[in-house]
Amino acid sequence: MTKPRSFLDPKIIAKLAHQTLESRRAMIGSVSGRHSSPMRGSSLEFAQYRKYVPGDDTRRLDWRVWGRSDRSYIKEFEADTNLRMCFAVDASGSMNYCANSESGLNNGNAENHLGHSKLHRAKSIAGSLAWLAVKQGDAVGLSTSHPTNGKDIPPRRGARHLKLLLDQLDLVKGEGDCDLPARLHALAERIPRRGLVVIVSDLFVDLEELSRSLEHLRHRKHDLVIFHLIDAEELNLPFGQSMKFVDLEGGLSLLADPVVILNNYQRIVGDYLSQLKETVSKLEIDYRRVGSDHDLADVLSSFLAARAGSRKRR
Amino acid sequence: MMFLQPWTLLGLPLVLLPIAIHLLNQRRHRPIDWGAMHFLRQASRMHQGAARIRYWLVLFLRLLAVACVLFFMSRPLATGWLSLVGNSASRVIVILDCSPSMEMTDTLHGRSKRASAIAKLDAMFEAQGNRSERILFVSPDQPPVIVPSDAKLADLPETQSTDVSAKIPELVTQALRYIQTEGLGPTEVWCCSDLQANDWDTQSGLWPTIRETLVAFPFVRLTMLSYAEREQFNAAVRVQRTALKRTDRSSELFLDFSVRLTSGNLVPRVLPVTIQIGESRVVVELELSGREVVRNGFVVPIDSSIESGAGTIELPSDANAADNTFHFAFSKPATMRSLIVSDDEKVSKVLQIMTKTSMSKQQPVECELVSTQKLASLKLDDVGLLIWQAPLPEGTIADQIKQFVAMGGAVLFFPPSTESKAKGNSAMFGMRWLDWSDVDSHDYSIQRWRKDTDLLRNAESGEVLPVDELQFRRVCATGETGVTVLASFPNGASFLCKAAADVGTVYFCCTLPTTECSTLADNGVVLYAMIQRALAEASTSVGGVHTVVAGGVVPADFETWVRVDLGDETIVVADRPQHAAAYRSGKRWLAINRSAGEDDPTEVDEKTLQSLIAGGSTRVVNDQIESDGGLTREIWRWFAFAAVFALLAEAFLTLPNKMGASKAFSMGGSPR
Repeated sequence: MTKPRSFLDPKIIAKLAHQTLESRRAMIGSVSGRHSSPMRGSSLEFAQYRKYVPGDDTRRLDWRVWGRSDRSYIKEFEADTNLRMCFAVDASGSMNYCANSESGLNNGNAENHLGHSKLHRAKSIAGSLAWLAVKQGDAVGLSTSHPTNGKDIPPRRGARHLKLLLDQLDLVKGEGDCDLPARLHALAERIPRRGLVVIVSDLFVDLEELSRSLEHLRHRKHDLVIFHLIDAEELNLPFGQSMKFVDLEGGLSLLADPVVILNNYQRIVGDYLSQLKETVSKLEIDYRRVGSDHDLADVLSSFLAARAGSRKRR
Repeated sequence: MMFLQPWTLLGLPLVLLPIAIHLLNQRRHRPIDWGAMHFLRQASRMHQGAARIRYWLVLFLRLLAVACVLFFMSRPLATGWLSLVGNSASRVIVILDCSPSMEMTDTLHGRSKRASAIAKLDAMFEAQGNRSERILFVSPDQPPVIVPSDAKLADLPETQSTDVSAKIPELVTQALRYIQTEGLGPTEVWCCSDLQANDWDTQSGLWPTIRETLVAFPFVRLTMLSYAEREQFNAAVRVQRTALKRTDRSSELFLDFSVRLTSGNLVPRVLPVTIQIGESRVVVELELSGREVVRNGFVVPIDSSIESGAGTIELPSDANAADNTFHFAFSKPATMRSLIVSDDEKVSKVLQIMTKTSMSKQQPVECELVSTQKLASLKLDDVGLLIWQAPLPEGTIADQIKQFVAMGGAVLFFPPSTESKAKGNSAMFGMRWLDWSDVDSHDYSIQRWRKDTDLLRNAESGEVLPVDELQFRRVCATGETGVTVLASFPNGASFLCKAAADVGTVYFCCTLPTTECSTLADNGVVLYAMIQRALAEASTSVGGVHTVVAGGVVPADFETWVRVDLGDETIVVADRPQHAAAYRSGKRWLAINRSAGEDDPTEVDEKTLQSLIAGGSTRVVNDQIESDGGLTREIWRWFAFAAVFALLAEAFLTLPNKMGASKAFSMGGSPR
């Protein structure tokens, strides 16, 4: 019997069951699938005519054109292929942050995930999307960013692989510094063909380095999705008294009065978000900011719906 | 500053409570696991300087709030005028100027300077719970008054107004000596005065001693509570001379009087001056167009049967009622006895001729010559004019002459004949004889002299005395301080001087009426006029009429004298010499008045005052009669306000930043 996994919420799975995961770009898969490919293939969807060159398969010659114009044209059709999807999950210590229900920032959403750490929600997102991808025949892989215990699972298809991936997700624990940019660089080098890279992280990294790693991925023609897990408390520092802030990534603790530093803090966060927005906009990354008060089912559902819509428009 | 509940200050260590709480809070900071440390560290670094200032400010405000609450509970008292360095001594000495000038009254409040000072001191003592031992000094001739703990200064008879000048240096000296002899510890000395120069006698030799004592007594703090304002209109009246002239059918009293503006603006105005003698009253309109108006020879017709009497001259009500009235006594011309003290036969012969020649048949004259060998038996009881041509007296004789002057007598000093006798250390009335010198009679003539008053004044017909025709061959130089020069030589040396005396007259002539010295005897007219006028001035003290200054020497049988004016009858007999009034005993009359200096509006300026009391712990507090502020008041309200302010400021500094909150990042309903 399969072990129940706490990060997989049946409600989310049920909501995603009738949706599909579409790529926004042409993928190069290993088998036939539901995603468009830059190659020409044997699907029913006409792509274009091109002149025959020696070596082309004569079975694809359009004889009717030849009969009318005495010219040899090859009739090409779109190729459908599967998707190589790889999750880059941040497993640094800061992902253990759990929204503080006493801070009063709960916006009243009954379905929120207060009480779960960001890592737990990252696992939920990755697990749910992996399940959906495998269900529709796509290959999924996993790369967890961890300074000492990072795991890399190459994208594969099949239920057994999904089980392996979920088992690995289950084992991921947040600790230490975040080495996400390095992981992404490595991922860019390791994935041989263009695929969908889904980054699930709080992105508490140097934005310059992150930007370079994202550019690297884009250079390898990967479609990028970022689920930015950041909490409203982390943005607004809504504490009314001096507190001892214990670094989840193992650094020194800091005594600070949030009241005093709030202005500067918010200015720094504002700059950070602006810079991030500029980066994701420039690199055409599908960016989703996910707070602790967001319902993950809604988050993923809207994400899938948006991507399905963009495919229809294409 | 002192405290009504000082034991509350034992809780002052509680001001450390906020620090202790702060340190405890440092240990009890609520920990929170935090991921976004990168942002937090950056923000903390940016805010480090301001945060440190804010931190110390908040801590200071908390300490301040606790301290203010403690001070507030201890009911602090502060002396007035925002001076927080106040009265903390267990003994307070009050030196009170009860002179007539302190009766200057604020017309709005109807309160005099003296009453205002007393009221404020009483309020201060009451606010302090009457815990301090209070000692009152009002006169150097009286012992200090220990004020009962439950008594108010205002209720004491010693603090009531008098017509005696204050003699501040003597009073301060008396107070400091009391502190020394009683071995008192920390003592607060309050000296309340209007800074009138007459009372302060800035030339007094006591001031250096006072300064030295104040430096030597650092535990004594001297506070000058001054009421130096002189803005309201006030005039003072004074009679200089009375003379009764009788005929077969009528009598006329000749009055020389003056009205002086002592405070207020110089605006010409007409003052009705009332002269009352017995039942008869005369009102004369006097136009006060200058600082002083003198009326000489004002004639008051009186009953021909009156041979002597007393009266008053009175001004209408003004800011100071104490100088609006002056009492005078008069009598018919009595035998004018003069006494010549001289060993020089030539001089005494001339002087005898001059004194024995009476100007009026009505005034018989007698003259007696006494050599310096017989001074031990000197009697001045019935003498009007004393002519002293001998070395200046010392010891008992000098005291006898001073008392003679104080009772209205006149003295005319001539220098001793020989140089060896002239030169000496003795001084009388601010004058001292120095060396004789031979002078050129052609160059040494008098060109300037007082023609309006005193011995060398013009005749009543306006004729000028031939003073400029006098020739001099020998002149005795003088050392003089505080005298009025009536005639002087071209080189500035004095010929005739008048010494300052409240009652009586004292003159110094710097040459002799001999051929070797001058033409005073040959000329005759000037010397005769001088001596006859001196006799006339002395006549006020003969014939049973005395005019004395309040607080001065009174006849030995004064207790039996009856008051004849319509003044305050409630004054006890012992205090009567200190109050202006007219008295009668048989055929003798006595007029007691304030001293002439009380009519002099000159004040001690602030700079001089500071120099007089320089050194030691002293301060000057300038008050005004109309000021309602007390010398001491409870200032707990200040500390309450300060505590509230500190708490509000602390709350403001620790409030969450609303500006920041308004800019809070919204996660929104959808993750985009």
